[in-house]
Amino acid sequence: MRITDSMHMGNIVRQASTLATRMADASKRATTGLKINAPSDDPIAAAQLARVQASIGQTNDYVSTITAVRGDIEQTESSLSIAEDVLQRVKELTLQGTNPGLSAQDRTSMAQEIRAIREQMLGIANQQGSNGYLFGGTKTNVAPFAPDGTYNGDPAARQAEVAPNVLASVNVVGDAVFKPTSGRDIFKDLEDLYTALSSNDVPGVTAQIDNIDAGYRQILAARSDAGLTLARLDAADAAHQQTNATLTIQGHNLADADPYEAYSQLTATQNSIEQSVAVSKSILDTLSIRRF
Amino acid sequence: MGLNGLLGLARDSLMTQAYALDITGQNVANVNTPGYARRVAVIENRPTGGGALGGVDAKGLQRAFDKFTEQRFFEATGFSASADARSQALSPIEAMFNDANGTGLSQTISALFTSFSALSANPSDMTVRSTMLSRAGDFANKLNQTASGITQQRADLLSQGQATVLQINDLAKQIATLNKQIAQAEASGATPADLMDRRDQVVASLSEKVDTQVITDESGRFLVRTAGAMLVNGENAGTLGVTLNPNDSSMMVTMQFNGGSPSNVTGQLSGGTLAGIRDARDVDAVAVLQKLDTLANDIATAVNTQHAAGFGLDGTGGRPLFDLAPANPPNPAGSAATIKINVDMIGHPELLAASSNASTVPGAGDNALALARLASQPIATGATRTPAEAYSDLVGDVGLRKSSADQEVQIRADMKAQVTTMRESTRGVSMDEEMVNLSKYQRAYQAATKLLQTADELLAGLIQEL
Repeated sequence: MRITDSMHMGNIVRQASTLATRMADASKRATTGLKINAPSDDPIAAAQLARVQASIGQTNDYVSTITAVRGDIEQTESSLSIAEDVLQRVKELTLQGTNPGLSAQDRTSMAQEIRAIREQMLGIANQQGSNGYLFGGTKTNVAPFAPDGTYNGDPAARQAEVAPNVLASVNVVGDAVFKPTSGRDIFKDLEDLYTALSSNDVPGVTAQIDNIDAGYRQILAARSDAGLTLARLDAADAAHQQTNATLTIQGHNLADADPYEAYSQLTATQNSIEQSVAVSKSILDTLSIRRF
Repeated sequence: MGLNGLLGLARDSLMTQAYALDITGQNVANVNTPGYARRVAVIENRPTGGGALGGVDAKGLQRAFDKFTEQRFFEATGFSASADARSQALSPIEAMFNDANGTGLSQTISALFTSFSALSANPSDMTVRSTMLSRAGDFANKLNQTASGITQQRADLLSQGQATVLQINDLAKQIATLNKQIAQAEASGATPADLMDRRDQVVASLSEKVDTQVITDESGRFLVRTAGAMLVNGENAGTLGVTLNPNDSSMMVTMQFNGGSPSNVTGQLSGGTLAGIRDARDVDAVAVLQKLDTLANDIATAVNTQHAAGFGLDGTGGRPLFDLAPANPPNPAGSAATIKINVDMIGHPELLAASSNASTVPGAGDNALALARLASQPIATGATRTPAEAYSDLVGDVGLRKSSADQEVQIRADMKAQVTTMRESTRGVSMDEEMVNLSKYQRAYQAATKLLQTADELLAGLIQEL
């Protein structure tokens, strides 16, 4: 085959061009630290990466939801805790009230305290959180309990998704805690206690001891439920952190270039270019019989 | 023959060697001229006897040219140019789906479902509702932008096609003119090597723009065929035109030759920039846009259905969240470009249907919860893929198209390099060879002068004696 000058030149130019392209790719990988700078670099890995990122996004969703509802549940729990303490005080008062050594006058002042406690209990039951009234079910824009103890909320439980297919109740329904049909109506009990004390009705007061105690245990049960929900939220949160850590590592494995490999490829390509230039020069010098 | 005959021989040799030196000089001067085909001096022995003189005669020159290598070169150039054009045309489209650079839709889609989650946790918070509406707006906007980006790219490619066709028509006219000039020169017996070189250059330029086949028929006429139709026949050149096909808005290339009616040759284009543009515009871009429209339609329809099942803070339900206006429902074409937030909902975050029952507003977020859970349900691609999966399929598809286009560029470039080498091997000037020729003809010239000198001395001696 005849070899012409333009073939030599053509070869030299083509090789230089190929090496320049390889150099550009190697430096891009080394400077960005990424294997995948565009979907065409590795289409399958790019698609996987998109799915991994979507999963991380969804896990972050759950974490945000947990954070958002946790505040209200904590507030519910602390409100119920206050209610517990209050009823503890009422229990003491009730026992005291049966003391035969007390006068009608003493019982009347106790009654006043009971009245004040009933107001306080109403206040607790009408506590507001970040989303409206805590104990009203989905009727978060109206106070759940009227002064006479009527429940104006609804029995709906509000739920949020805190993990895939895992729903957590985020509210405590007011009438299930303060006046359930199969439990004690605490406001009424307090009202009855007030009546018994102000009319110096000792047997009446005695009758209330068990009722107040049952009411107290009612509140206690509701409070520990709320506490359990918080514990579940914590567990779910920890699980999500773990999932995200794993997914993030997976994402890095797909997208990141091994820095050592990238750097050594860059160096190797640079060396190739230098060698190619030297060889080309040598070829151009040798191939000439011009000095005849 | 006698001494005069000797003088004649010497003269012939001098003229012939001088001619050959001239040719060598031309080759040397044009070693770097692109498209130059090496000239070879045709030297023949003049027949002796019967009154003929004998000696040597320079018949003319011959161009080093092999029509098979030439045709393979044009083909390879065409394929390489079309692969380049397709790869370049796909770059802007790939750039719109590049989540590594933050330009893709992955985050926007995630943010939409995240905002549904947030709404389910705090359905009566107006800030949360406003944010939710804003994210839904972002989702619609991003889809609009991406769809219009692809449509814009298709429009640009059509313009590029039109510009290319103008260049093709101009080159075809040039070939026809050159054919005429070459025919005239050949009629007077010369070999118009320069004109032929020029014609080869023009055909090479043409082969970059569209697939080119060169045929020389029995009467010596030079024909160029493109896309299965005649482009140049001797001194007549046809014209290509680019219009929009009214049925499917694809690019339509027509050929009109010699006053005949234009014929549609779009399907027969097999090489050159024009074929690459056609593939990128009407195969790749259309497929990507269709997948995008399907994704937009699937997500929006599922969201709308669930949203309409819920109730806003005003206690009414049945509202869709997005307005979709595909041109021919249920065909989703046009969904991504036209999707918007429901016009009644703009500026009214209280109408977002977070609650599944009119009586449980404002505190219930269960409908918002159902909306958020759509993210993990197979609502896309014929009810088989979740939104994130469907989007990742789309990204994978775009990446695959571009990466296979890039690979083809590489393969075609290698093939073109190989064929170019073969062509150069036939046509090119080798300095080494020319230097040897220079020496060869130089010595022959010197020998001929010696012959002349000898004959001259002999004649002079003869005359002196007389």
